Amino acid sequence: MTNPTMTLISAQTLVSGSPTVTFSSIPSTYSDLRILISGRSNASQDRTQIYWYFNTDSSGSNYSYRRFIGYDNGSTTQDYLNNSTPSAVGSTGVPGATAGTAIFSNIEIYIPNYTSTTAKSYSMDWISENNNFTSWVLGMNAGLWSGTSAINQIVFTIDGTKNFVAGSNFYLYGIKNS
Amino acid sequence: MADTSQAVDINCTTNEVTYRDLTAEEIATQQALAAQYEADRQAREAEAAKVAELKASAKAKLVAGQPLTEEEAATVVL
Repeated sequence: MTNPTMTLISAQTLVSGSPTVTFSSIPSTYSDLRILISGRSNASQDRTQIYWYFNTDSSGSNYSYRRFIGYDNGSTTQDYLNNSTPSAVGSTGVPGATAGTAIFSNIEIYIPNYTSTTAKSYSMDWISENNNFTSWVLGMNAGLWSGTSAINQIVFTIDGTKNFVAGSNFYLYGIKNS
Repeated sequence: MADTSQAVDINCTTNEVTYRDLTAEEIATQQALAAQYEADRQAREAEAAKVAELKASAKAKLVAGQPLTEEEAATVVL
């Protein structure tokens, strides 16, 4: 019996601010993909929305997800269950410039069977916080991309004209025989 | 190091890393994604506010012994 393996395909630590990070020419030789991100933005806010999509398909109509999130004490939608079908690509949040110094997000995305010729599912867990009880968000997503091409590119981009700051880390792993 | 606002492309086959300016198409995509997300967020918050209002109204009517509307009754967990 072959043992499952997890191989680091690429690790990227930003040396300067960047609005977009792209893993391209992803080899098709693995079973699944796993992505880990510790990110932060330069936006003047406690957290910033980021978006990610597969290949060159940024059309929201090809994506759907369900998610549980909780955020910010006092919010009317704390512990919110979103069971609708948003017309948006994958999205999550990272701390912004007003969050405490050196606080970065934790984001993990798992994409099984990424070379499939049918729709691809993914799961994501994530947190963006500020070392306090009033400015935080955590969530779990289960998503689907209806594209039928193998995933060979994943794009992470940030809201508007903002940047991921230097020191943000992006890791892509390939998993075999999972 | 100062922000350069350059896109980072990582070729996972060759491990080559390229820094380049965003294309006009990529900037338009960013703006479209942000606009769509904001529209979705506002719709979700409006729906949550509406449900909260219906719950409050249903509670007040129950306490006062008044009949609920169908929308208000739908917010009551039985």
